[in-house]
Amino acid sequence: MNDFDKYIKRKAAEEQPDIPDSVKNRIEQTLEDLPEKEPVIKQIHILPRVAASVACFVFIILFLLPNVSVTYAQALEQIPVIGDIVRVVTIRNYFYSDDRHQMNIDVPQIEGENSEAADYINKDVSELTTALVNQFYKDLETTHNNGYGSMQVDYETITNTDRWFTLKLSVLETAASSNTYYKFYHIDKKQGKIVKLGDLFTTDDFSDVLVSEIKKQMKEQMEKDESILYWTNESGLGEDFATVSADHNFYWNDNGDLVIIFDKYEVGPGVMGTPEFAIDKDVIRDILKPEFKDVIS
Amino acid sequence: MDYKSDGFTDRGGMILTDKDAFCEHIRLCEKSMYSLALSIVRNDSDAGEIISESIYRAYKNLDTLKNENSFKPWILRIVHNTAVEMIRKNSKIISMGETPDIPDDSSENDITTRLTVFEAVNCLKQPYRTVVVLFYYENLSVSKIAQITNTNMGAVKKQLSRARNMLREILKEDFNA
Repeated sequence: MNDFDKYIKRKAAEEQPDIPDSVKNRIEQTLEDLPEKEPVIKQIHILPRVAASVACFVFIILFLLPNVSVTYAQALEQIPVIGDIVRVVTIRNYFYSDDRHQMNIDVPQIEGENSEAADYINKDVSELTTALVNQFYKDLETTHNNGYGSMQVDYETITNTDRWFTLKLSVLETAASSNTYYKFYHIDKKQGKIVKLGDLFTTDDFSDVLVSEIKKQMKEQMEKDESILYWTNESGLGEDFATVSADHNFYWNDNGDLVIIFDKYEVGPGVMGTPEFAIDKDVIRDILKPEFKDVIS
Repeated sequence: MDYKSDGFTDRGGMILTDKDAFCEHIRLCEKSMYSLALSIVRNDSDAGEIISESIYRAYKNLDTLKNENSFKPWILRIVHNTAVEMIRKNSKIISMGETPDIPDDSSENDITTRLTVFEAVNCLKQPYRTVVVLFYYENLSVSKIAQITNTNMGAVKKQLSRARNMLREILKEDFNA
């Protein structure tokens, strides 16, 4: 290093500006606002695993697991929900509890609807919950007595009218902190078919329409309330989510508006929870398939 | 931004897993983060915003950092990228390609108080300010600077060499004094 470099380094060390209080305070505030770290990635890993191990899981849930679970709570009484034809019952409950770990998984089943759609949902729910049970026991084995963790799975019938049926499965995983995500299932009762978000629209461009509307709402919310944060280009906190996929979670609210739900951490920090955006029915009316127009009217 | 290909994922160190440890690492690096952000945007308000956003981004992508020994260059790269993005998006902030504010010969003669080195660095245009801050203030190696600023070592060496000449010109009276 030459003399000039040494001179600059010496001066740099002497003159290095201290962090002003305004910046220091901002850093501390940001750190304070961070959610506790937890296995965000876990959820992403679980779902593909489900697809990859279907046959194995079906076998395990039907024959093996009820016998080897530490506690196996037998199927609960039928719990009728709404609607004359379709009802949802808890067919199985997986339960485990010790000082450090809890698991409580209710497995719902759609009954009274002898359709392929209901069969499909029942199978999918069964596979997903089985995967979660397996995951719980695997984590239990890995952490032994060193960690804490819980797994709660609950469900709710969001819609059950003559026209439409929506079942919401909620998964709450808690390790160092919590992670929540949902899976929504829909049956178009008129056609007796499973409906996913992409099925509702006449065009693949539906994603652009929804993304643009959601971004607009995010921006409005962030402008109105400083405590609201989303990972957007606009906020500088991350990249905009670019698409809403054809199987993204949604439901119809009481107004007939389309509600898009994001999982925790998907579009914002953990403090934002699981953000929901109601898309006014007028925004999607033009791109909605004719057979679904009566759902929003 | 692809954090997965950041080059800081070499194995062998501890893995950061909880918030407290993350916060501790941020506090250890905050001065460096501030210097870097300030070198790019040149005002405290924007620097604070960039650091805050970088912390969120880093925390969100913490699982991509496999070795906590690489935390500092990793977080500085996020700060750098965040700052560059902000500048590109926000026309109110001074642009990357601005004309340098190096005093010309005529005005130099009028200067009665000597420039500090930091003021001199501030006179440089980009990317020279940033490489100077990382090299002289943060004592980072050329290869680390290349990783942080998404370029190669040859480019960093050239930038440093030019920056050195510019600084020498600006500070010649002080240096020779």
